[in-house]
Amino acid sequence: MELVIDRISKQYQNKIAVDRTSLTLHQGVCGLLGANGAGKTTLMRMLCGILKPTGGSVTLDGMDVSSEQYREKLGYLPQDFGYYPEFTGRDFLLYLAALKGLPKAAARRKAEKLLALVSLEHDADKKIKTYSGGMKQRLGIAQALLNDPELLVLDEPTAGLDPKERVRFRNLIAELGKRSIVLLSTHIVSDIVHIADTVLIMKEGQICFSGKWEKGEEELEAFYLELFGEETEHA
Amino acid sequence: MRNLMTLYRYEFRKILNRKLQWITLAVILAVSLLTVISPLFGQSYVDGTVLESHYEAMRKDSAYARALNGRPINQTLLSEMQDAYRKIPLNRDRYSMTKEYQTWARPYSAVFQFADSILGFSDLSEMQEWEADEDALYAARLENVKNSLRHLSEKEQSYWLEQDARLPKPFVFRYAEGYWSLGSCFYTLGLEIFLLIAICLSGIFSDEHTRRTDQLLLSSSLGKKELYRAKLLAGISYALLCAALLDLLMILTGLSIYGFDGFSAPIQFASWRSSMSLSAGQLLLILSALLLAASAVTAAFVMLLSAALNSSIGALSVNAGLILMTMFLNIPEEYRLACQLFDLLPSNMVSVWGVLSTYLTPFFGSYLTLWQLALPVYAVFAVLFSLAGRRAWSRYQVSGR
Repeated sequence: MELVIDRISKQYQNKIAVDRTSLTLHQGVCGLLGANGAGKTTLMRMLCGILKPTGGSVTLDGMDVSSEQYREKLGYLPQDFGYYPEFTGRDFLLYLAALKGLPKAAARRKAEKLLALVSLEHDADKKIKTYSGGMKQRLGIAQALLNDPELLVLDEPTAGLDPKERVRFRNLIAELGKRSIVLLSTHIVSDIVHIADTVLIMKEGQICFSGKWEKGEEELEAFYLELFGEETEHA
Repeated sequence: MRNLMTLYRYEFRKILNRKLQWITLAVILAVSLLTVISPLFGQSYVDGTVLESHYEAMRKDSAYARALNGRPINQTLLSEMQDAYRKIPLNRDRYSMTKEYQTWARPYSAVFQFADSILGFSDLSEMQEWEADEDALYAARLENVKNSLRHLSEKEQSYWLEQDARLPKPFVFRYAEGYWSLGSCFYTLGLEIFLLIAICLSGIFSDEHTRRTDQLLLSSSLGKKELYRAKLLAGISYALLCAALLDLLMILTGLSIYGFDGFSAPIQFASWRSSMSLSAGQLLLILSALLLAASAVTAAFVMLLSAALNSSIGALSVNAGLILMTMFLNIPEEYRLACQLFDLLPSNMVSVWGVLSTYLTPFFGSYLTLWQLALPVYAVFAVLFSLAGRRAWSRYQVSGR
């Protein structure tokens, strides 16, 4: 399993959101840090095939990001995703399972399993419009796992979760990293330190740090602040 | 076509989940039924006194017309009609109030209306002075038919006159009030259904963007092609279902009131200038087929706009604008091609005058009438709109936010 990002760029009229970024990711959790507007979400959208890069390429084991085969291996939790208020939690998962190409019986089994995993089994038949923010976020995590993805892209997955749930999902993500490539974007430095095998830091559309973080949480936080110090002072 | 039917069911459900859809459907259902029923409401007054209710009048005239069923409009019947009308005294303001009209003439009013529409009597005295003449009546009709074809090419005129010559004459009268009343309601029904489609399907793609569900859909393996097919199928089947339901309800209501008889009545009793060999029942079937085909192509167009404009308001506005334009715009006959294309627009085509249009299109040594041309044209456009819509949906870029 290998995700190859080769000189990928995204340029808008007068702004370069992602600037010739190249990376090769393997199984494990890759934590992506960066200030708001650094290009994290743009990069993730390009990795999920919903935003076309201006230049460069993305392949997963040789499959191009624009192919259906690539998307079959992909699980994606966007930062701010929508839902269908009239659908129940179970319907939502079954609908997305159908979109991911799962046969009906397998979709049903997988949905039940994931509803239990995200502790929504007792609320599965309630309409999503009655869910709290945390419940919706848990449902979002569940949908990302429906197809047992080989590449899992998570944009702020623990946002909106209470501390206990956050730790539980952090451990779940670490577990998923043992068999998939997990790209995790978050502002929570402790999450990265606890579970990320590789740390990526983005600044102004470029990866300014890429590697294993051997030191502790405080050191990463200090390093992070040092990198973005200029902006922080201005702010 | 993996999971197409499963996705189709979810997409259909999404359409039905919209409250606005139910409200619009209920309003349109009520309006279309009222269009059929409303002519029977109210009463006829003469000098402040009630003559009869519209419903009573309909019952009475239907019975008289049914009594004439199967009789050819020939010299015998025209003379009978004239004899009856000559009994009405001329010195009355309103001859319909006279006992003579009610007793003798009214049973022939259907024949009188046919003759009057061709000869255009200015008043009762002119009618009474007229010498009933079958040949003169049909000759006057033919002259009018020729005049109505003047804007066409010589070949087209010859085609229609040949068709007219083939019509069995004298025309045999059949009571078909149900069919004629329904025919005139189709134009309104068409407009209502196209508006319903525009309201209910304008958000089918664009709402995924405003709801921000597009990220999940477009990143899933079947989210670009299969989902598009499912949405398209759901949208078109929704449009067809609504059109079929409203069409059927309107027809059943109309025929229950006016009677189911008259299927084989010649179209010339509704439009005497027409040279088409069509019956009342065939006219209704053609209108229903056109309504379904036009609903499908309208649905494909609305969904294309929804995918391309990414705005339900935009898609709705364009459609509503087009519908309004067809209501108010009138293209002069000398601009033949523009006129023919304009008449092909769904909101113009689903009407009695659309079906009876004399515009012809050459087709392998013969001609297609406008309604015959409309069906394949709608099919081609539905495919083109669908392909363009798929391109717009699958190429959508999630940026900003």
